[in-house]
Amino acid sequence: MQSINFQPLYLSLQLALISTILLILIGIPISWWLSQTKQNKTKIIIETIIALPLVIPPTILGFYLLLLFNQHNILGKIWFIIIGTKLAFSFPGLVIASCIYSLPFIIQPIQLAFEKLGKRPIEQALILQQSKIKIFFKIIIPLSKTGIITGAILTFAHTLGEFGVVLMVGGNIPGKTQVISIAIYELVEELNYNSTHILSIITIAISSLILIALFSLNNKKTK
Amino acid sequence: MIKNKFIKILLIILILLKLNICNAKDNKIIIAVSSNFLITIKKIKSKFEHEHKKCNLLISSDSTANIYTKIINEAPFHLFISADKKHPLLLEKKNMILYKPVTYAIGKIVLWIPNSTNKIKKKIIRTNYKNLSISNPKLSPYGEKTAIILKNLKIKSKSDFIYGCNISQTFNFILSKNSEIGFIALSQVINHNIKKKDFWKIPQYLYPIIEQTLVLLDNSKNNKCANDFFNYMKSEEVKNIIHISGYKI
Repeated sequence: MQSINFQPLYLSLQLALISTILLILIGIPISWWLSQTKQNKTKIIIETIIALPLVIPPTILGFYLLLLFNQHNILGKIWFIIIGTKLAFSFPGLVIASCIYSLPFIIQPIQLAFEKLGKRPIEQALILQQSKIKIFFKIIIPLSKTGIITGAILTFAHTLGEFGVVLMVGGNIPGKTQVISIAIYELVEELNYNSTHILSIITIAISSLILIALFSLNNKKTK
Repeated sequence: MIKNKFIKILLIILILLKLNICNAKDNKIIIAVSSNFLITIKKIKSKFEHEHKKCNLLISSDSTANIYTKIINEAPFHLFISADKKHPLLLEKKNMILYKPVTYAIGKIVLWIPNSTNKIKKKIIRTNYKNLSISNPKLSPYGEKTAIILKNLKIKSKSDFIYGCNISQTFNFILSKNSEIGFIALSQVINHNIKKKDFWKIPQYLYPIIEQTLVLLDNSKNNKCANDFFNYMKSEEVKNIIHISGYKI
């Protein structure tokens, strides 16, 4: 029996983790701005752009990212000048692609949580003459905790299940960009059903645990 | 309580981040291989790594056309094992390779009908078999040649033809019984110990020779392992493995 290579699984978990952390940092300010802005044209445009990865086929996103990542194009060039490595078919490239692809999954739950808060807690804190930064970190963030955690879990799970974008941008390079979904695709082609089953079952187990965490969190909230 | 949880999460993050670094080896080379040759290259890989302990080969498989697209988009491959001569020559034109393409094998096409009762003959494909699968002629050199075979046998394409992205996928369609019949590579038939009566070796006069070539890519300029492997592919030992795997040399 062949030994099973678990590297793609680690790589997927690593990618999901890094993307989730980055997206929480990017997502909170954007969601806050969206929740505080009244309905106008700019808001609609930005909301559309953020939600677009939900609708368009991942191959379209992957195709254009691949073009952008090319060293002769703007994003690839800037990255090469600053970091000194190529962006296409590299792990950082995958992280950028995942962040764009999973953006709606972090923004929407957090935006919803912020909108639900209403103006009262902020006004009360303002009466007590608290600084705005303090209000944000001590009141708004803790009160929207469930929304943020939901967003984080969804993002993590979504990145774990990604296929189309990573196939286009990552290029199936073992140890660098060969994440779990692509490794399984290759194992099936190799007719290595044994390893396919084992890796698939582990991935299903991890995904189930994530969903169990999500739903028990939601149940707690409604009680 | 919260502090403890935070430390735990931090630990998990650190462990996950570390795993990738541990796996880094100095002499990693990445080989892009056309999927018809995937199983054979894995055999060669283990022999080569046994003889060159310092080198670590990573294998990435796809259809020839897809690999070509990846290479011109700067994929970090060191060697390209193609299923044709066309794509390596295109890379040569773009000055992306170090030496001239080397022919390592001549591919053979077979028609596979699992559990066939009669001896397979030409006319059998004209009878009512459902879902003939072939590789996509646009992506796979094997598919391109299969299209010529169909033309020579005067078989018109039907709406129930199934197109695999590459020859491995085509094989999978038949193995999983989603297709009753299909054109695949002789190497696949041999690797999976398929009974002789279940396949028909297509005579060479029905299709042009599938000259499979490999090239050393720009990335390997100062890479000893990549150069060693390139030379190893030309050795008698490897030729023998390739021959046993169902290719002509």
